[in-house]
Amino acid sequence: MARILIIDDDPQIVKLMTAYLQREEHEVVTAEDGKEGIRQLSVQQFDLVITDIVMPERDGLEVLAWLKSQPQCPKVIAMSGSSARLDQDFILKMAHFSADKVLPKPVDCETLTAAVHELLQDRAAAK
Amino acid sequence: MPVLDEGGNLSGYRGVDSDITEKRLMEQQLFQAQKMEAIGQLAGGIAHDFNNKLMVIHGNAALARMEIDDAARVLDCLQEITVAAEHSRQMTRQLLGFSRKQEIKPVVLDVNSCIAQTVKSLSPLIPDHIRVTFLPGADLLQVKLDPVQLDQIIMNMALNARDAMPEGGLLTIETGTVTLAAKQGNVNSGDHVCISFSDSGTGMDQEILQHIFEPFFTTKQQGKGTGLGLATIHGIVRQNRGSIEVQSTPGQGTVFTTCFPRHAADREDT
Repeated sequence: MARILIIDDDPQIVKLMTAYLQREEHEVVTAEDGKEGIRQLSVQQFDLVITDIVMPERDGLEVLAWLKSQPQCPKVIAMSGSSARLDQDFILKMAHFSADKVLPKPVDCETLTAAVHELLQDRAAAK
Repeated sequence: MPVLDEGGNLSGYRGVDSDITEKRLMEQQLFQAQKMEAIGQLAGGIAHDFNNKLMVIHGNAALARMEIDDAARVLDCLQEITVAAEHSRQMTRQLLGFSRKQEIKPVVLDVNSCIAQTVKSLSPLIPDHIRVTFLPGADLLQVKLDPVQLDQIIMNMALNARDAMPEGGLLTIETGTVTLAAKQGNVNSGDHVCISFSDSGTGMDQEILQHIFEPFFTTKQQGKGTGLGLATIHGIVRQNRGSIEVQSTPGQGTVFTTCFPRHAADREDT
């Protein structure tokens, strides 16, 4: 079981991913935008963060930049509904900002839970 | 400059010609470039929203299969799918309404009947903590409108009001007949049928009010609006020689009032 933060401004997406992850018995915390996400990250420890990119207040790139500035950071999955942006430049930018995986929406349950499982295993192995 | 003969009569004109062909061409090219950029932004925004809704639809269908023995859970999944599908329908509608030259087909409408029907279809989209009330005006005059356009107005207004009341509240739709004085623009004077949409939501300040009818302007989170709803309504109202006004106070709510000229059987469209 892991502690996972979901950052997304679409409440239906948040509800769906929470359901996916709770089925895998993970503990889930949610944030509706980048600003709230960063606030949560600064006061709590998480094993993994799943963040949308296009959001109000502060977007996913700002979340990733904030995480990169921290001495320790959780594993990160970046998601985007703007598929056209998932070109090579964008993926490189994500990698630079320490996203461990980049998933284009729509993401199905199997893909998401497999990505979460893989990153949590990597994190455990690194400890 | 006029040229006068010896008798003081106009005999001709003297002037300077400038060839503005190139200037016009550059203006057209600039306009086209701006339009393409706007279309690109619109396409990107719509694709983003559709991807989100596809994820909700696909994902909840999968969840329902996984939890098929839990009826309450399955029902919840189905409700999520319905909301996402309706949102997608609205986006498609707005996109079509914004893209076409609007070949409208006005018919003489019973506005109260139309609104009552549309209000019924709002229920999957409006959460339980928002109470929707329709107050039909008595002896309402007839108007000539495209029913699809009227539907668009009601849906867009209702969804905007919903989004302004995340903690719940009241949405009141009311119709009535008023007599308007002549104003600039497309508005005729005389008897009009007016539809007002009042919410007890967050309200808007003057700075926001100045921009609300601009295409792509939105105060909503991504995925919750394309910024075309009010621009579409504004276009519909002007197309039908109507008017739209808004009154809003931050923290106290908003009232939108749209008015359309009455249809008189003895007066055809002018």
